[in-house]
Amino acid sequence: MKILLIEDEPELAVSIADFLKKGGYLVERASDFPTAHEKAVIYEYDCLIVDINLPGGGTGLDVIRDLKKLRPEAAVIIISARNAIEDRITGLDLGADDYLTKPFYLPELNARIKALLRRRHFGGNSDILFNEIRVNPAQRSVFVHEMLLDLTPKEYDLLLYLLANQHHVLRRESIAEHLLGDDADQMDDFNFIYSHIKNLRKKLMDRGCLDYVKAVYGIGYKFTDKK
Amino acid sequence: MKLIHQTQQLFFRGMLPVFVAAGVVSFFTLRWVFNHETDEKLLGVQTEIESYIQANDTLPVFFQTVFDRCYAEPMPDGYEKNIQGQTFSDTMLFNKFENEMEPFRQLRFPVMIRGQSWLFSVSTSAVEHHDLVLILSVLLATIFALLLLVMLWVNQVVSRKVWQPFFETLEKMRRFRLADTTSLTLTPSYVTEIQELNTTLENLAQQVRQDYHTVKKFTENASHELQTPLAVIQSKVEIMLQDDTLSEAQAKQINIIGQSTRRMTRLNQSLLLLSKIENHQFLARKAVALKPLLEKRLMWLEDFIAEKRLKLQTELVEKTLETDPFLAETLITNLLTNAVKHNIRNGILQVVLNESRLMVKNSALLPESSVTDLTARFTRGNPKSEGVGLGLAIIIEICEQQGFGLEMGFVNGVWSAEVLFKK
Repeated sequence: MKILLIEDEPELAVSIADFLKKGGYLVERASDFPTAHEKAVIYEYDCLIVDINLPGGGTGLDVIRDLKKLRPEAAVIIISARNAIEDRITGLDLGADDYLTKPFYLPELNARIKALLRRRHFGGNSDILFNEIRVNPAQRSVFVHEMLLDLTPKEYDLLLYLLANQHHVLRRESIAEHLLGDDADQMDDFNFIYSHIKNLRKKLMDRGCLDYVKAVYGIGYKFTDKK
Repeated sequence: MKLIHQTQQLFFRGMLPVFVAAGVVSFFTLRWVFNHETDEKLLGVQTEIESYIQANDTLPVFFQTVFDRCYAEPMPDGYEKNIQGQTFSDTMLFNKFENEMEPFRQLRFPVMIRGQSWLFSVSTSAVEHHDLVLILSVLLATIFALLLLVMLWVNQVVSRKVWQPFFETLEKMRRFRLADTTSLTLTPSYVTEIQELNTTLENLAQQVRQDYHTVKKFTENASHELQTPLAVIQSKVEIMLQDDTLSEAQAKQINIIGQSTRRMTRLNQSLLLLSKIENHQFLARKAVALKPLLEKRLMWLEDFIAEKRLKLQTELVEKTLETDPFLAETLITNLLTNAVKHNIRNGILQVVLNESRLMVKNSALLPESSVTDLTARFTRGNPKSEGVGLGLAIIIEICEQQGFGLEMGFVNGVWSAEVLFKK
């Protein structure tokens, strides 16, 4: 999977690229408008991550506009500073698939990319497999040892987020933001996540699933089958 | 003291002595005029008597009336030396008809008849003159008093009229708000000084507003600029936490960096939002249905409400409000999240919406700080909470801008915030 990361802040670009490479993606970077525009138009990527404010005579929105003229099916996620509602609307109007406001949690970006790629490549009909767990995103259904598991919407979202970021440490704040959206930054105390995790874990293990959810004390959780 | 009262008082203080002095002077002048006239008359009598004596060389026969008396007596011993020519004096004589003493004007003069010296006393009643002086004095005093009143009244009316533009200016200045967008226009005045004042104030207001907006713009830009470094820190925290070689202690430290960064991000967001609200960037007017907004936000908060085991009571009616949708949502979000965030375990959370008001009540542990302290920006209610306290500042700013009343109080462990839709 090839990703073009268009981001002018070098350190942020390095972090994003590092995180995504760990997940097995091939990441190319562009830090100004001419480079970004050239790469986006010439090469084909599975997904483009586009910052709106760019140096060099154009914005990320211009890149998306020209790219979509050539390849309307290109998968695009905008990352931009907060509270620019107009940018968000313009971006989505131009055909961007998703929008993340800075600062965001890297696992969140990762999960969004995965969901987007799944929708693009398999029309959402590809199952997510993890040992004895099978998730069908189109029907929002979960199976353990091929037995249907009854999950609440939040437990389902939580499981998908854990699966998308398997082997990664997920901070409580990032899980909260995934479940509640940007507004989660209004709150401080995310103890409720513990009850969701507890319930999810219990439901999985009741069906004979191994315990993959590891608590990383004081920080968050990690979904892994590695020791 | 009011300006008008001040001028009235000064005017009164200035005019009163003048009027009193004028009264006193008139009184004495009148008396002098009347005395002078009487004296002339008495001198005439004297001339008549003297010419009679010159012609007849004998005492004349006097015809006495109640008002005019005349008599002669031999010069008392040793008296002649005291009298040179004539002497006027005021004296009291008996009026037998009225049976009382009355004031008289008297002229005494010596006359020689056949070698003998006589002292003549010619008197005429001064009672009429006295009455006249009295009546005139009262009349004058009344006129003066009336004049004073009329002048005070005229002065007041004139002052009001002349100072009217000044009062208008004052009123406009009182209503002047730094954050308003309408420029300050004061009513032109034909009074040079007031016109100068108006011009000065208008220029000052413009200058201050300009500075204010520069500062606001700066805040906004600074907040915007801060977002990038915060995003960098946040991403680095995320990367570092993925390192399996980290010790637990190190991971915890890094996580704290992440949490603090998150707090800073939110603080920054709130400041940015606050400055945008203050800059009047949300001016839409739409009918906003409040009940769905409240229900949506309560639904969103359900995990937090369940976690704290809060007793939620709602009484919501269908109510629409003409306001900016974003501000309405922000107001509701802040009211409700504050009420949950600062709530205690097993506390109550009451939300009441009716035609006139939105009331949110919650149990809270508040320090001794008063309500006024709480409303100050950056004050935190609960020392354990991470909240930056800007939420309340945002609520206050929105209410102020949208013309809502806001009543807050803390009674018996329950904090309440009421938004009154009409002030």
